Amino acid sequence: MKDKLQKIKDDAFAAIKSSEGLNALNDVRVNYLGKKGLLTSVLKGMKDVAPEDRPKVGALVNDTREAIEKLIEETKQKLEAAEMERRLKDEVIDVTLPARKSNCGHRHPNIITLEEVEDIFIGMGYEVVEGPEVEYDYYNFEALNIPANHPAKDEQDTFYINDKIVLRTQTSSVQARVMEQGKLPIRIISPGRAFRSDEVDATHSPSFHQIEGLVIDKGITFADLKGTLEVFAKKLYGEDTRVKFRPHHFPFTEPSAEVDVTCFKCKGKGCRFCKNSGWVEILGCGMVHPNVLRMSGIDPEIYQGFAFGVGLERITLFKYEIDDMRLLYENDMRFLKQF
Amino acid sequence: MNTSLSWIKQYVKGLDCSAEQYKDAITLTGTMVEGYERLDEDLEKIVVGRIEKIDRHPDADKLIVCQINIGEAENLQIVTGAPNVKEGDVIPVVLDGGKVATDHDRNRVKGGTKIKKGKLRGVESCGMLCSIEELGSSKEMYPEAPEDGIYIFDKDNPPALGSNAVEALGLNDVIFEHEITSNRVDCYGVVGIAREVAATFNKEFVYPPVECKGNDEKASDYIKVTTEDKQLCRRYCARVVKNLKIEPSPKWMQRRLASQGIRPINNIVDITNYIMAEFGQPMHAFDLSTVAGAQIIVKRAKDGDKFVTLDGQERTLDSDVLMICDGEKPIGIAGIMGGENSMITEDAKTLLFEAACFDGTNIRLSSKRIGLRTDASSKFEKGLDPNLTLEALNSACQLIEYLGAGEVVGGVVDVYNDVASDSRVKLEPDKINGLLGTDISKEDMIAYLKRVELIYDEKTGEVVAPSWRQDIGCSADLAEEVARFYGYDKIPTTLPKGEATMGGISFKMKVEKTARDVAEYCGFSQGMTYSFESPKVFDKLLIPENDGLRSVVSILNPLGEDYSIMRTQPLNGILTSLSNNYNRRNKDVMLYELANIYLPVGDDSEVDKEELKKRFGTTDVLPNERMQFVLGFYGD
Repeated sequence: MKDKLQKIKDDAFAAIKSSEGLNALNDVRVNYLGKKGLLTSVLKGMKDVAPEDRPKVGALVNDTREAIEKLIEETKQKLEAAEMERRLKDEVIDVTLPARKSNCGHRHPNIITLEEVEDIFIGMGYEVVEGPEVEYDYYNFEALNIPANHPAKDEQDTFYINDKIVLRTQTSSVQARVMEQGKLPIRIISPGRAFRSDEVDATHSPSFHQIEGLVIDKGITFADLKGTLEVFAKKLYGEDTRVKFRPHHFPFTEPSAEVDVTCFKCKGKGCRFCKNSGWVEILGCGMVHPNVLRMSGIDPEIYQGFAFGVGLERITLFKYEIDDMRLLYENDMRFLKQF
Repeated sequence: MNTSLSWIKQYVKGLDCSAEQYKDAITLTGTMVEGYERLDEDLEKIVVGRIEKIDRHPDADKLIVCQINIGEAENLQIVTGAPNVKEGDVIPVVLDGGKVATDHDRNRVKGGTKIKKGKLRGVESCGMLCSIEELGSSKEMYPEAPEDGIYIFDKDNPPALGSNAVEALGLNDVIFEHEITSNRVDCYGVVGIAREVAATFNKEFVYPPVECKGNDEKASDYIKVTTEDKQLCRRYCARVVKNLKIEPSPKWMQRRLASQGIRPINNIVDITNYIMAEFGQPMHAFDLSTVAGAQIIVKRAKDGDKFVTLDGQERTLDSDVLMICDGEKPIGIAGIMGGENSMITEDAKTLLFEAACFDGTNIRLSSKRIGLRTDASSKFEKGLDPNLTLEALNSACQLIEYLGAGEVVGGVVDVYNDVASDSRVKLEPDKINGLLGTDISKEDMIAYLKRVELIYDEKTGEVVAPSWRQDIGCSADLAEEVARFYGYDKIPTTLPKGEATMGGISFKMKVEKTARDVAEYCGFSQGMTYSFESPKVFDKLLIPENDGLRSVVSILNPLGEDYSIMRTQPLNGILTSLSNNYNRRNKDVMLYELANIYLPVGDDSEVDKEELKKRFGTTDVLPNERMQFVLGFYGD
């Protein structure tokens, strides 16, 4: 019996020493000291030991158990210390690392710009309205003083659904829709998609966005148009922005103008971005043509107004210094993440 | 529209401005200058010299040593390898420290190349003789220049020795590129732009005097003109020139054409091009000997007719194409291109000049259908002033006489079907000030309008607009003219007064905004895709054959099949975006899109078809546009 216990003890010690890690050590413990362990089975065999020898054997078994338990405990502490050491090493915290990124997604740069524009005009009492993108020729052209066979129709490279329905080439199509409702005064902006059959390149896209503005009331003047767009440009690009109105031609406004703002990159000194001119064209505008008012049932002798159209992509590209329009429609995460 | 400053100056008395001043001023009155090129930008210290003596270079076979007289006491010694010069030639010389436009390999370089005194194989050379390329131009523009070698001035009429060679060649000029708006057809000619320049700088506009009587014969004895279609041919003017002498046109004319980017050919072709550049009125010249029956008939073609234009191409016509015919056959497509069978050749003796006014829309549509857009058709399609035809025709004949290119026959055959009248608009100063927000006096308004020949008629209180200003039709048009010359920049800036309005967005937009916020809070980024896509997407998306989503709104003239239908679902867009990202090895992509879809509306919809037809010319109902919210993501 004594030999048997000595063997168990030796085996256990060997197993403990060779165990790598806390789990292995636990297995050893269960193997020797557990309910069905080797040492326990020795105790179970006590009934076969002569009664006079039992205390002796019992003490021997207990000594063995204690020795094993002691070694397990010592080993366990060693292993735990090593484990801690390892974990400390592994999990060193570098406080100079950037904080973990928030998981929020990113808004499309077009929409960020659009919301900014909307806020500016809502602040000035403008209602934001929408109109259909697939539109009657009437609203897209005729009601805007562009009769059938007008060359402007060709100039705009229209997509046709049939000869009387088009993909709107301009958000100006919303003008007549709003005016013919007959609720005056009108003070709206209308953002949305427009389409022209331009091949895709760095500055053209067959699908793009415009923001139309329309104000109709008694006594609205070209001076009001100038003042309004000046406020708009300064809010969008900064107080030091200067605005230049150049005479231009649109069939639906008279007088008409194109508007340049000082290049926000070089502040008007001239740079690559503004082709060294110091100015960047951002929109077209003018006083609503009397024919347009008349066609929508508004008396041009009583009411007058102004309209303007801004290319959303254009102002977005400038604002974020993006040099290729195609990036806006590729939805590459590396691009979108920057906004 | 390109125009040289020197040409403009001919019509604007006392115009003295720099290129930059011109650009800024004319842009602010509505004729935008998109850019300009100073022809002498990179040229410095280039004078006229004469080669007095040529010696062989002692140490080089291919070099010669020239003694050049530049009008000073001492001759200049220059070594050159040019093969085409001889003693007595008058040539452009760039002096020590001067600049030419090309580098050593004769390529144009920005900023030019500085020329310094130096030694060539041991012999001193104090400058360089110049080719036309080194002067920043080309043989295209200066046809008399040699293929490869030094430019040699005309022997019979050389410029003074020592004078500025750049000026002698007319290279001290600026070419402006103007953007002309579609309402200002008159500005497609130099004369029209010059009128605007004169008004802008408040200078006198000098109209070129046009007069050409011709000989004692009568054009009507040579040719008879009938316009069968009076609607499409508003006016047809013809004159005859006999005893033609076809030769190169003079240099001044070649230079001017070159400034417009037109290559000089011969005096007759150049005159028609010159007139088109000057007035914006296209002209055509027929060889009269090829015109059968000595008559011109303007009429429509028949469906399926074939015709060979002067570029040698056969064109198929239809009954909406207007043709110029002689007594037997068609000899030209009206306003687009003449025929091969009647073109002017080197041995033509008598020509028929045509200047006509055709219906702009008809020309535009015909040119589109035939697939032939020419300089002429692009002018006609804008709708020309019918009073311009005679002016242009007489001016062309005047040039024929001036250049000695032939003998002009007296008289004009002029068929004028629909006489253009001046338009009259009441001048209402209060209304104009009320529209502009200004306080301009009536007298000032009248003065501004007068600058562009809009004349105030005291008796009727009306402003009379000449026939070339077909864009003037109402008070707002006058307001724009006044504003242009008063200065858009001087108009005050105010904000709209009147009833206060409540700004805001609609419920739908609020929902969209919330959707965006929630999606982004959950880590999705916003994508944006086109509204049109390929009809093949339905198979890709495994959408059943008879599914309603396959009923689509199609585009008649798409950019290609891949963009030919309006989407009825947002899936293809987002999947394509995901696949783009995946192909570019982007990890963990989370996208959302707010995408409009377009669902056709069936015939059973409850819409008043009669009303639709009346208002929109169609009984078709617009598709249903619906905003869809779609998410797409992949990754860990």
